[in-house]
Amino acid sequence: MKLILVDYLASLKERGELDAIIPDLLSEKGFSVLSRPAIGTRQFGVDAAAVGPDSNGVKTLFLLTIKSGHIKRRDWDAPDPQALRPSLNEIVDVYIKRHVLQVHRTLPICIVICLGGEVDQAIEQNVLEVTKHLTTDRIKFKIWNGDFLANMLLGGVLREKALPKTWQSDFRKSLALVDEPDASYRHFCRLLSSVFNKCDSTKRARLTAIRQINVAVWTLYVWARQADNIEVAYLASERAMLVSWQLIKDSLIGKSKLVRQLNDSFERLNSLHKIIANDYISTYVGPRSHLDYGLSAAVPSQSSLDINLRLFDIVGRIGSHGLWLLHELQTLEYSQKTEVGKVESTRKQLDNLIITLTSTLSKNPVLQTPIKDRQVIDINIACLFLHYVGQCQVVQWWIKEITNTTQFAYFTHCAYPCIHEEYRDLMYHPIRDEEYRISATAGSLLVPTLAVWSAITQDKQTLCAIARFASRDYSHSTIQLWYPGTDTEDHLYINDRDHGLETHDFEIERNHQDMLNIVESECTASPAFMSLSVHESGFWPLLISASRHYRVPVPPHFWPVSDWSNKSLKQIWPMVAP
Amino acid sequence: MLDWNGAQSRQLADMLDPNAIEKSLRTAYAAGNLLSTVATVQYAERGTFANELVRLHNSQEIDFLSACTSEELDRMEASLFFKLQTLFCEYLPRIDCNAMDAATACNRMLKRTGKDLSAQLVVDALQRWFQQCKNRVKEGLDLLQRDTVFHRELVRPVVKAGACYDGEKFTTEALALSRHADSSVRLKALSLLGEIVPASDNTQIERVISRCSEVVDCNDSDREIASVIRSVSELTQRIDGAVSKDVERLFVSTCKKTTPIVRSELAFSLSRCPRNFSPTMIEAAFDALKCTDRTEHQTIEWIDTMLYGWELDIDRERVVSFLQDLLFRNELAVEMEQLEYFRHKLAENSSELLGWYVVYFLLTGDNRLCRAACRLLPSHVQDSPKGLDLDLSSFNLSSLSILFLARKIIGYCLSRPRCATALLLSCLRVVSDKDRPELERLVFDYFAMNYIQSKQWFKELLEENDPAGQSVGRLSTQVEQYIDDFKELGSCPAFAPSDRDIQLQRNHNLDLWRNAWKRGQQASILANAVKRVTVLYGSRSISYVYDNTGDAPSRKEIPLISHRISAEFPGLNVLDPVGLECKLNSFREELPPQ
Repeated sequence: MKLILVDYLASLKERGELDAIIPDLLSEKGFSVLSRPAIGTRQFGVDAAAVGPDSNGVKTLFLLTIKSGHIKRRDWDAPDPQALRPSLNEIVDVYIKRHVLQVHRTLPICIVICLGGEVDQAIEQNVLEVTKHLTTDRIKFKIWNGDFLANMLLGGVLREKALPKTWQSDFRKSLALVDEPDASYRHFCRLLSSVFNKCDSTKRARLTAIRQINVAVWTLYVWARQADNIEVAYLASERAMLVSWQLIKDSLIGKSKLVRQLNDSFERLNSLHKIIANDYISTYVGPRSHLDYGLSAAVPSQSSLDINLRLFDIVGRIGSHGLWLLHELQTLEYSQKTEVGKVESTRKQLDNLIITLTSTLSKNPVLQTPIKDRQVIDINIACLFLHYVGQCQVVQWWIKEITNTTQFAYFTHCAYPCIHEEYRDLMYHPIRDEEYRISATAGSLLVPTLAVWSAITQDKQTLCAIARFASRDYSHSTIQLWYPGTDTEDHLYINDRDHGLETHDFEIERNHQDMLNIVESECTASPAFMSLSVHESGFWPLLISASRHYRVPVPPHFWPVSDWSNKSLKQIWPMVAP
Repeated sequence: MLDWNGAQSRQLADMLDPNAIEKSLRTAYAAGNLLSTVATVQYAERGTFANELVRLHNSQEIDFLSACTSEELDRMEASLFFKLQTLFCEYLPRIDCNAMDAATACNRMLKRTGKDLSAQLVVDALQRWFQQCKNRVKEGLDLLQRDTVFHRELVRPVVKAGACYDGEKFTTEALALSRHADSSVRLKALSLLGEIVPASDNTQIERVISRCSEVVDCNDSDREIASVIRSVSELTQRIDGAVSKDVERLFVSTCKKTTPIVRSELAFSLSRCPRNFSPTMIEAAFDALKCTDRTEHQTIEWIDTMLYGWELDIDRERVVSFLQDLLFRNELAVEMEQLEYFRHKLAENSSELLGWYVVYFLLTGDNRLCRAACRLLPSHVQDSPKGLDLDLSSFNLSSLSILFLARKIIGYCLSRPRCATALLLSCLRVVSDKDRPELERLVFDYFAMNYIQSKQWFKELLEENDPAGQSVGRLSTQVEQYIDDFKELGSCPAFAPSDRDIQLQRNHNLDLWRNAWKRGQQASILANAVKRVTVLYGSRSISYVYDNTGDAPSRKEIPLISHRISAEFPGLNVLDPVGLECKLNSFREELPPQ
C-alpha cells in the first residue's frame, strides 16, 4: 500500500495536485492550517503554512515549500523563481521577517521542503549545505519526501482504523485495472460503498471519509493518467462527488470549523472532478473535435453501436463540464476573494468548451441519430449548456437534425431510438418487424424533450413535425416526462432505488407557448425540486452530474420555459446567487 | 501372365464384340430386363449395341417396343430412364414396326417423361420414324383420320413428316386440322402451318395467312394466337417478297392481343432468331413484351435469352427503351435480377457499353431503373474497371445533370466502389469549372470518406492529360491530409467500449459470419455437387482417379488452395450508418433537373 502511495505522490504535479492534498494531510494530523496554496498571489516561497507540534511535541510554525516529483539539479538553483534554492532564500529573507503573524512570532519555525518524490543524489549535498547555512536557533529545516508523506497518509487519512476492511483490496484492484475502466470502476464503486456504509454520522467521521475518498480519487487519477486512459478516473470522481454529497449534505448546517472543513473538502473533490473532466475533454475530445468524424473514428471499435453510445456519452460529459464551469464562473463573480485571473481562465475554458461542443456536433453526424431513448439525458445536458452560453442557434439546428433523422430512421427501420438499455438488445436493434418496432418504442422521453427544445428555440416547423409524428406514427408510444419527487433527495446521489414522478397525460402541442406552458405548470405543481439539497446549497450542477451518471432524466425545472429569451444567466439561476 | 491393363483391354474387346452383345441382349430380353440393360449400356459400345438391338428387333427375335411397358418405365429410376429415353429416340427411326406400335411406345415414353422438356425428343424421334418412308406417313395419316382425338400426339410428327413428301397436301391437312373441334389438335395444327407450308407456293402461304388472320380476328383464345405466332415466326424465316408484308401485318396484329401466353410465345420467337423479324415486327413485339410482369417467369427467361442474343451495342437505344418500360412499368414490373443472361452479356461486353446503360438508367432518376443500373455493375471487381469511365459527351449533359448523375452514382452504386469510381471520374472529366468544386466536395464527402483508398482507384484510371487530373489531385491531397490528421491523433483507448460489450460484439459478429457461411454452403452449387471432405492438416491432398479407359486408377496429388472472399463496406456505415442511409436516400429521391 505504501509503495502505491509513494508512486502516486511522485506522480503528482505541484500546482493543484500535490499542494491540494498537503493541507488536508496536515489538518488530519491535528495541525492548524494557516494558509493554502494560491495562484496569482505572491507567496515568497511558502506554499502552505500551519501550526502544530514538532517531533518533540513543541508547538511550531511550519512553512512548507512544495515541489512536485523528484528534485534534480535543474530544480535546485535555476533562474526560475520556482526553483528550490530561491524559494528557501525568499522564506528566510522575506516571509519570516515580514509575513509571519504577530501571534506566531515567538514560535520556533520549521521550514519544510515538501516533495512528491526524492532529492536527487547529485544535489543532496547542496541541499544539506544550504539548509545548514540557513539554520539558526529558531529556524530549522526538514525534508518531507514522498516516503514521509506516504507515511503521513497511512497514519492520518488512511489509517487502518478509519478504513473499512475491504478498502485496501478494492483500492489496489481498482488501480491495477485502470486499463480496463469498467472493471476498475466496479472496484472503486465497492470502495465507495464500503466507505459510505462504514461512516458514522459524526461530522468528524464524514470529514475523514471525504478526505479518504479524495485521496483515493487522486491516486486513481494519477495512475490512470500514467496509463493514458483516464476514463475510470472520470467516472470515479463523478460518483465520488455524488456519494460524498450524500454523506455531508445533512451536516452543512451552521458555521462551525468542521462545517467549513466539510464544505472545503467537498469543494476540493468537486475541483478534482473538474480537473479530470477538463483533462478528459482537452486531451481526448478537443483535438479530435475539429476533424470530420474525428471523434467517431477515434472510438476503437468497428461497431456503429459502440460509436453511437460513446459519442452521446462524450456530449453529455462536455455539457456537464460546461455547466460546472458556468457554476464556477457565477460563484467567482459573486465571491469576495476571487483570485486574480481565475475568472479569465474559467471564461477561456468555457469558450474552448463551446467550440469543442459545437464542432463535435457538426463534425460527427452520428450525434444526430440517438439509438437509445435515454440518450435524451446527454442531449438535454448539452442543450442546457449551449443554451445558457447563448448558442441557441446550435441547439435549434441540432434538435431539428435529430428530429428529421430520427423520423427517417423510424420509417425506414434504421437504428431508431429504442427503449432498450441492455447492450445485447441494442446490438440486435432494429429488427425489421412492425411488432418489434412498436415494442421497442413503447415509451419515449426523447420525443417530448425534442418538442420542448424546439419550443424553447421557437422552431415552429420542427415542433409541428414532432407533434404530427407523435400523434400519428408514434401514437403507440407513451410520451412522458420525469420530475423529481419527495423521495428524490434520499436516492438521487446514491441511486439505490427508483424515485421521482413521471407524467404522461399530455400531448405534444403545435404551438410553442402551449408546449412550454405544459412543462411550466407541471414544474410549478412539483415543488420537490425546490427542496433538493443541491438546489438549496447552490451546487445545482450536481443534479446534472447525478442525471448523467445514474442515467436519470434531467428535471424539466432546468428548462428555461418561461420568457426565456429575455432572461440573463443570473436571472435564470437565482439559486446560485449568494 | 497378363497384367491388369491387358485384362481390361481384352474385356473391352469382348464388350464391342457383336456376338457378345447379341448374347447379352437375348439373355436380358428372356429375363425381362431388356430396358435396364439398354439403359446401362456403356458409351463406347453404344454404336454396336444399337445395331444389334435394331437387327434383333427387325428380325423379330426380340420385341423392343413391346418391352417398353408403362410398368417397366415407371419402375426405372429417373437417371436411368432419361438415359433410356435418349437411346430410344436414337433407335426408333430404324425400327421396323407399324405406326400403331411406334405411336404406342412413344405415348408410353411421353407419359413417363411428363412435363420435362425432353418430351420434344420423343416427338421428334417419332417424326423421324414417319419420315423414313411414305407408307409410314400414310399409315399415320390413316390413324389420325380414324380417331384424331385419340391420336392427337401424332398430329405434329405425321403432318411434319408428310410435308416432306407433299407440302401442299399436308398444308391442306393441317389447315383442316386447325379447324378441328378438339382444341389440342387445333393448336398443334395451327402451330405447324408456318413450318410446313411450301415457301415457294404463294397460294398456300396466302391460305395459311388467311387462316391465321381469321384466328386472330375472330378468336379470343390466347393459346390459338400463341400458336399463330409460332407459325408466323416460322414463316418469317422461310419467306420473303410481297407475302412477307402480309406476314408482318399478321404478326403486328397478334402482338396487340397481349396476354401472358401470347407474350411468352412472342418472347420465345424473338429469342430464337431475332434477325428474321422486321423493325416493325420488333417494335410491335417489344410493345407487347414490356407489359410482362415479374411473375411470368417463362416469358422473362425468353426475354432474357432474347436480349442475350441481341446486338446490345448497335441497338442500344432500342434495348434501353424496351428495358425502361419493362423494368419501370409498375410495382409488378420485372426486376433486373431476373435478367441474368442479359447482365452476363453486358458484363462480358465492353465496359463502355455497360457504363452507357448504367448512366442512361441513372439519368432517368427513376428508383427502379436506378436500382437496376446498380445491379448491372459487377459487385466483385478487384481491379479498376477500364472503360467504365466512359465519355459522357454523347449524353449532352448540362452541369446540373452532371451533378445529378454524380449524386445518383453515389446514391445507388456505393456498394460497387470500383465501378462508382470510374463513373464519377467520367463526371469529373466533363463538369464545368464553375460546378467542379461542388462535384469535388460531393465526391470527397460521400465517396472518398467512405472509401479512403479510392484516391488510388481514381489515379489508376487517369489517362494522360486527363481533364479530371487536377480534381483527382486535389481529392488525393484532401484525403491524405485527412489521413495524416487522423493518424496524428489515432484512436483513443479511453473511448473503448467495455470488455463485456467487446465480447458480446465479437460473439455477435461470429454468429453473423457463421450464419452467412452456412447460408453460403447451402446455396453453393459446388458444395452440393461434390463430396465434402474435411482436411485437418497438410497443404496437398492425394486422390485416386478412375477414367473411361478402364486403366488402373491414377494417383493424383492435388494442391489445397485457400479460398477467401473479401468485401469493401463504406466507412460511414460504421461511423454514421443512419446519416449515411439518410443522405443516400436523399440522393436517390432527387428528381432529374428540368
